[in-house]
Amino acid sequence: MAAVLGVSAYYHDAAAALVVDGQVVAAIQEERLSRIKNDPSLPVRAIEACLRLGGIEGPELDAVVFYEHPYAKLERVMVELVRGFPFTLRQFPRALAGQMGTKLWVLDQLAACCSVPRDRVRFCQHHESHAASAFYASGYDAAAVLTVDGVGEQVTTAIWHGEGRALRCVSEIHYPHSLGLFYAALTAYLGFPVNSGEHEVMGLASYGEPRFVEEVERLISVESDGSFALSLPHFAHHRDPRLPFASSLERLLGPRRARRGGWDLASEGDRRYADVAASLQAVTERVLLGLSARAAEETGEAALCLAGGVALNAVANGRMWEQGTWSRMFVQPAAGDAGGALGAALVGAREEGDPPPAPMRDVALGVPLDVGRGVALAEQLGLRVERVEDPAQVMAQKILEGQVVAQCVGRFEWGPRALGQRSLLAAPSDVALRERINRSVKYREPFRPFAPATLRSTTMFDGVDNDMTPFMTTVCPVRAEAREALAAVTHVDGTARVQTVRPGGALEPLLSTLEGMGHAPVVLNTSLNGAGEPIVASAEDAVAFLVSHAIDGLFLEDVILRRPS
Amino acid sequence: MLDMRLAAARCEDAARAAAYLRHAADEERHARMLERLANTWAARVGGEAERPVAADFEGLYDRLGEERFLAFVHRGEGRATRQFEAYRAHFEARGEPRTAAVFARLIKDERFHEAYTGELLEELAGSPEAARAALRRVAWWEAWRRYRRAGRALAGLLYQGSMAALYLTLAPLMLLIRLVRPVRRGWLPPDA
Repeated sequence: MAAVLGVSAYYHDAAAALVVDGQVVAAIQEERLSRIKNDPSLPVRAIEACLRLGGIEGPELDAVVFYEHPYAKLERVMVELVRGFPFTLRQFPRALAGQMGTKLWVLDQLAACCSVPRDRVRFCQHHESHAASAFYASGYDAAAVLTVDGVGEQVTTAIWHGEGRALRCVSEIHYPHSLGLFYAALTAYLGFPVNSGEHEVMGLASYGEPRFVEEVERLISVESDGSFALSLPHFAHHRDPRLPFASSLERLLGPRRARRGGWDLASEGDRRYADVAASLQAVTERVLLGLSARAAEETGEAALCLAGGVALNAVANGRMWEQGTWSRMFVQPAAGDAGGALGAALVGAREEGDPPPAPMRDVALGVPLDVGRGVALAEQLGLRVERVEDPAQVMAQKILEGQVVAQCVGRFEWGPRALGQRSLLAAPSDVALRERINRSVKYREPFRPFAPATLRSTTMFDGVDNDMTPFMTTVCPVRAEAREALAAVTHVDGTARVQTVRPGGALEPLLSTLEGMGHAPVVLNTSLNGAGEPIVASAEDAVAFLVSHAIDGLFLEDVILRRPS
Repeated sequence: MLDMRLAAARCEDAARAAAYLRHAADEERHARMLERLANTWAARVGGEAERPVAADFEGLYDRLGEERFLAFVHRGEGRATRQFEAYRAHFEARGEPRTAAVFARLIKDERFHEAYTGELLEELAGSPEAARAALRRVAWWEAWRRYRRAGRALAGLLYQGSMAALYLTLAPLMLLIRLVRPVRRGWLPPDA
């Protein structure tokens, strides 16, 4: 029996996760506490919070596991810098400073930060962390595991076979051939920031026609065995990660879109970019289907687990599910690098001989809400504070009246999705409300869809009965007869990224109340954060959000806060 | 803005924490106003505004302690007021009253921030003399920070130069690496 801390850091989405006696006690992304989106720094705050939640001191940790091999990473970076000579001149000083200045010493830094002897700090492979985060959290006895991201040490894509406590790599694809970096290059081409704009590309894709598939397929070739290779002259990630595509890509697809907002999908220019996004999405799905088929063939399993940044592509996950190859599918809710911290902790726990964790049913693994502190701040700010007996009833009433309300309850979520613990909620039918949230609350592009949260028993969607919908990691078709009632949460392609809420879930009281009042148990659920900000974590963050954004009320558990009338 | 948010989270006194939260909300609003202004100007000249720059964060509340943090913010708000006054005068002189009005609104907020942080500083320090001493200490700290930043910039230039020289010596290695570590494609066995 052991206490193991897993840590990811220094690339993007730093995080910490604590596993005690094999069970996940806490998992926190640093950005939630530092308030810096995609914070890559050593997650000191997240580590402290995990230890506090576990009730243990740093020296009591049996192991601290870093999510990747820092020396193998250094080797790959150096080899690529030299291989790219002389085109890597600009990148060389920066990459060397990054590697030698901080990344190489991460294990020593972790030992100092956690006050543990250096020999208790170890590492596992990047893709092993991803695979463990999905397989061990899935609760499946056996499964194929597919990990797809930008790049780890050397590997960009890997197929794993999980059986009981064993997790074995079957085959892998190496850098620079990377589906994650392929998607990133086109994300940059479309004018979105890499590592955070990929969701926007996915949303945009539904508005376009995939009329550039032929051109996009010239960028990536797919073999009959499911492997793929990039046409490297079109990419620059192996030379200069600041602009991950080469000028030849612009010759193929036309000039890139400038990095600015103000999308107008009625204009010919922006429609063309939407078509490129649609083509990118179509080709990405094709590659992923090939990988999925290969994983089934190699492992002979009926269940699939997914992790790595590319696994956040909910539309592609939906497509894999539709194929019927798999009887069960699970995607680690924090599929990106943050999830690596959890995977590293689970690998460490396995090495310590601990039992497997309980299947992941809930991602409320963050710091609990301090309602008293929120109330004290609200009173000082002159906000109206009211304690209510039945918050679900009051909230349901407000939503039915067309109001936009925020809900904060319990511990905040693990991963990039708000699943009710820190959510912004509204009626799912009112398109004008959706526009209001996009324009005046979230300040984001009009094509960004909103997701519905519903009870598991719903009949408004097809194909919700799987292990992904509780975590919003896939999309499901909205039934034709329900589209009007769900107009604000149905994407232009007729799908929705549904969250099915289990009994005891944060949104269950609200949804049950709506059902009890004779309404469909569905709400529009979006993350409680402003533009470019991490999702709200603490009561202070929530009150700050209420002060700065045009919402109608904030529920801190059973206390409702409102602006003065 | 993030430093003010952190101060609100760290400060145990609810009244001061609320003041820091309100301040952070003002700064956020200012950022949006300036972003809109940048977009308007960009559209006017047919150009494109950059995406908003992410808020920076120095962890000043933790590094300086609340008293010196307040002194730092107080001095910063004073500087911002003077800068914005210069911008307002400039745009008034150029006959752009709308832009000047934006800066006038900012100045009003900055003056309020300067005043409230001054009051809180005095309250926290215990006397006007102690508050002045805190302001002097922060002025020294800022000068030291400027010196260190200049040093870092110079060291950065030297580093860039020396790394460029080192880089040139890697040319023979490039041939070797291309020979012994070719780019591989397709499925590979683990640990290949």
